Amino acid sequence: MRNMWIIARRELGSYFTSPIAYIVVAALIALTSNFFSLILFFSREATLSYLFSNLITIMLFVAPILTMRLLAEEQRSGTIELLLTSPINDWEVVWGKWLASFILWLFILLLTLIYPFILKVYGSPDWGPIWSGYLGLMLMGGALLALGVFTSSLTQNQIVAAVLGVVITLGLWIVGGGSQLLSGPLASFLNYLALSNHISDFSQGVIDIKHIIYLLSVIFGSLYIATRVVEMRRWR
Amino acid sequence: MNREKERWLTFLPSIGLILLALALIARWQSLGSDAVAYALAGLGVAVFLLYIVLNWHAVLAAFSGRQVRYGGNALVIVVAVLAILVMINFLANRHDKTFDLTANKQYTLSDETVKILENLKEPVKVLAFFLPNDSRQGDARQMLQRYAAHSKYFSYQIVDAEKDRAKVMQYKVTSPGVLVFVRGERRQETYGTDEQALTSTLLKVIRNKPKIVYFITGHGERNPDQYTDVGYSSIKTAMNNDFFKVKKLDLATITTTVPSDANVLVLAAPQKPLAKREVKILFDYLNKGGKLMILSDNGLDFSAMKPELKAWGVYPRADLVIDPRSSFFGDPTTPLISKYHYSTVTKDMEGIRTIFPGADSLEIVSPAPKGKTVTSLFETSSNSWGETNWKNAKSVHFDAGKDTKGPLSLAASVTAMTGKGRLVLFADSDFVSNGLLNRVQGTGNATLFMNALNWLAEDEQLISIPPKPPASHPIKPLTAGQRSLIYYVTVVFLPLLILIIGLYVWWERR
Repeated sequence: MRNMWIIARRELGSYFTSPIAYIVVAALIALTSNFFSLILFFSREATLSYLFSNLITIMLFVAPILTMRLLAEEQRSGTIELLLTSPINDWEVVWGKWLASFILWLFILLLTLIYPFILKVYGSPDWGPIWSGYLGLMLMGGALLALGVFTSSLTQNQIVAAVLGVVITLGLWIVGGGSQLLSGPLASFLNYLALSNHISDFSQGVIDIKHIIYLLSVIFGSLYIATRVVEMRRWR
Repeated sequence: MNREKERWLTFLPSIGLILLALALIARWQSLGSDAVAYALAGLGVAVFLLYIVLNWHAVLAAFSGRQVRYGGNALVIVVAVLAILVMINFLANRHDKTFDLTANKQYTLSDETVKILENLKEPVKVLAFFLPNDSRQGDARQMLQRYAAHSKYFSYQIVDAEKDRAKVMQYKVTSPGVLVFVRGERRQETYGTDEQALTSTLLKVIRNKPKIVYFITGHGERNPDQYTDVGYSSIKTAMNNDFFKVKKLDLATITTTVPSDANVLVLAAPQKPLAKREVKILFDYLNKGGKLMILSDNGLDFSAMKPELKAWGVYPRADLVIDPRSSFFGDPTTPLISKYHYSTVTKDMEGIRTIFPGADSLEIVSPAPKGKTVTSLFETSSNSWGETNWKNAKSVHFDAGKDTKGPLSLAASVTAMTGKGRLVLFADSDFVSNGLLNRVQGTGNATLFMNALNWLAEDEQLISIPPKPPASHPIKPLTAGQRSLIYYVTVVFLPLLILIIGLYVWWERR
């Protein structure tokens, strides 16, 4: 567990010293802010529920960019060998790297707290949906980052990892649409599998245990497979 | 540990997986009872546990990952871990628990609805017919999900009204957006997706006897059995479709009180004033918790019941509404309404037009009489007025002092705080006549009438379910300066700050 923290701290350090992370975060915030002001000016409602879905849609593309380097780069430069032969468990490496990206995500969410603050100044928002929305964002972001860590484990090429990440997250996002062509258990299975069906309740103010379980499962499952993949590299 | 045993052990997770898959299939296909599915699932989990116990070292190794694995069961374990995740999700989905954090509990069903659902004894299925791009589909799905969570007898299906023509024909769907409640042979429809609409439709479909509406006769009232233009046979059909039984009642023939099976009385445009005794019977019924709908019209004399109506807070002025601004195809004597006050009667009318040819206007007694809640349902435009001298076509213009200036109320609902009596008064009776309903397409007149009737005939259980207006938390109007401030702080300043910090860190490290 301590090793996980060491890895996370190291990765976080490289996030905050590389200009790429600042550019990505600044672009993300600028885009989200743009949505925030437009939604606020047009709806004249002190709510963030529309914004949350926009933010998570942006995150579908940003998450794989934030995670693409994490494992792919270690494999390209060969430093993964050092990590794997050090007295650190494989899962500690994978979880530590995910944790670093997750802390960065929490940091981004911290910046977005300016929106509810503005709503508070100009109106009286219903706080329940805002906090539940943030819980949903945290978990959904964590899941997207975990999927990104998984795709980063598959390849040595960062770009491949990022593209693969976008393909997988987008695929999981829209797979529920397939349920319209089908009916019965398969349709409900696809509906349940789709990431997109596990966020709107949060942003509307409903905390549903099944969404939490689902998102935690995506995080755990992705990182578990990523661990196995990293480990498999050692056999070759 | 010998090799033979190990070989057998690797099969265990697969067996467990198959058992779990069978459990899911049994559950989904409703083969046998739930107990079968649970037994299979339990067995599957037990096999997994057995494997874990017997093969403790290998499992531990697979999870910690440092040790070299035993044989080739790494993939099996990956699959097993994923299967366990699927199982956990399946259970979470079945035993769902939600917490509603909205201030007015927007997404929580009321105790009354929950009670009705828990008392369901027969299957009720809801078919929601929607076009694929209908935004209400999501609301309907969420609501129906909430209902289904409370009873195993309640199920629902979202039907694509465009593709699934067979179902559209089978359930005689005339327009998409309808929810058809089915219990055995009984059908009941609603276009609403809120709790009031769904629960009242549910109550209707599980009811075995229709509610009874009495149309009062004997003064030249509108006749529900008459098929000519002035008749009410079309709206009678609508009432029958909504599980109401329409009967007639001559107040002069009853000696004491109205029949006890009456759910609603309708007094539809009496051409002659009611006798004193009739008025007394009518309002005794209303004051004792009865439900009454009165349809007035231009030129009718309601003076015989003026004190009684005033005591209920609303009275027809016996004028003629002239609305030059909002009228039907430029006929100023046919006001057109498209905006409604929020009430149970009008909540699903938003954006739907209603027209009222030759209406008089309603006087809403202000302040409302003690113990009564009076709600004006909708009004004419502010350019309209109530013409008192309407018999003389030449003098039709606004006379200050004589005519009432708009906006004029055309319908009102009154609730007695004690005694449960309810009254709806419409300022027009042509709006649901055969002539209008059959000839003029695309009005919401019949819907409005049925909404009012349903509100009057509402079950006691429903009365405590308040209509939940969509939660609204408007912000103060923003000045141009405030808008710029918000925009520049969030879109420009904040990202710029991040970039500057990044630049600084990068510079320092060089």
